[in-house]
Amino acid sequence: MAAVQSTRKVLLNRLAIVAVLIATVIFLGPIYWIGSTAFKPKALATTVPPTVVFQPEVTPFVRLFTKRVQMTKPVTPEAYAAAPWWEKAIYDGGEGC
Amino acid sequence: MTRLDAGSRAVARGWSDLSIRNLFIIPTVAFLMVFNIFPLVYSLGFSFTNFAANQNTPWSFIGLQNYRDLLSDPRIWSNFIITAKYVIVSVAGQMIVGFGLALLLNRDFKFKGLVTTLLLLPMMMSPAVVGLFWQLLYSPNWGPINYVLGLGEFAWLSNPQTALYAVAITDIWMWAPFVMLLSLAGLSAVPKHLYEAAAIDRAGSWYTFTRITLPLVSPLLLIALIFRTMEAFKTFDIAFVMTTQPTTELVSIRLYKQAFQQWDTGKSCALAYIVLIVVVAITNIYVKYLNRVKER
Repeated sequence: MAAVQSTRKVLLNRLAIVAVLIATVIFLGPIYWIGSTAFKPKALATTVPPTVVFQPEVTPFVRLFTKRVQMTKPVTPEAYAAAPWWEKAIYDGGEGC
Repeated sequence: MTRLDAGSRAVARGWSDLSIRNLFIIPTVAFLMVFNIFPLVYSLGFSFTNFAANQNTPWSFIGLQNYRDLLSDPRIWSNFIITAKYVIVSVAGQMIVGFGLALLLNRDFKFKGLVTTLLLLPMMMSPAVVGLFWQLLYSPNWGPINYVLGLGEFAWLSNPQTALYAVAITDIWMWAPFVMLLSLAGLSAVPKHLYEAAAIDRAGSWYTFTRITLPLVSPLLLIALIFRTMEAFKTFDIAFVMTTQPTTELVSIRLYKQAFQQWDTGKSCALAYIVLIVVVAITNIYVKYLNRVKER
């Protein structure tokens, strides 16, 4: 069947597929935005224009799943070494030092 | 010849009617009675009283007074007008976007399944979550929507003129995939030989669309329309989460306020029944039309 299709039909078919792909990107835009914001540091979450390329972080999730208090003193090297990886991610992010 | 007793014969046959009734039908009917029918009848009773759920004061039957008050209240009518506007905008948008996407998707290409699944993602999210993050997307100061459309600091949700449409756009984004799914099912059920016959007869593409595609898809399109109209009429979550504008006060939000902020339980039950009657009436009109379309 495909062999007898005119070039115009093939072109229209291509155009429709491209349109579907564009629509998919538009529909997924909000989901990508909310998903990527979950991995952004606070300062990048509300930038104009929205940041698309960034260094993903786990700190938002660590903050969500752990109970946190304000640190009064900078973290000691021993405490840093003893901390689990998610705490290290927070320390590296600049909090508590 | 061996004769079995009634129980063994039932076991040999598989499920007996009696065990099906006891195991499946009686629990289901009991569940529906307790959780659907009972509250329905109970609230119908409350709609004729001046009962208030947060007070212990005695209450009395006041007949149709609640209904009379509600139907003569201009605020309720304005809520209904807002709801009608919302239903028309969002359902029309969903039908156009959803059916358009289905028409575009109704061809074979690589990753068709993947693209369809990705397009269905918005439908799978919780309405409260969608409302919350669209509120962020619409943010006037740093929202991505204003940036993409180049609108500067346009306030979507705090502007009484645009708030309702902003909520409708969110609803379209969320539920157009549902219409797309149903119309895609309808489109793929259209027999291919009809198109081949049309091509042999040198029918134009518009003629093929209006005479073959549309009539054969219309029953499923109408079902999508019924579902979406009913749901849009009852919309509460998205609109409630996104804005507090008086211009977005849909009937269900009015209902919520009446029931749980003013604690006017009897009156809110009456309003709930008015909404139910309206939805049933609209659905009946659609179903009548659907049956006519199916007969063709």
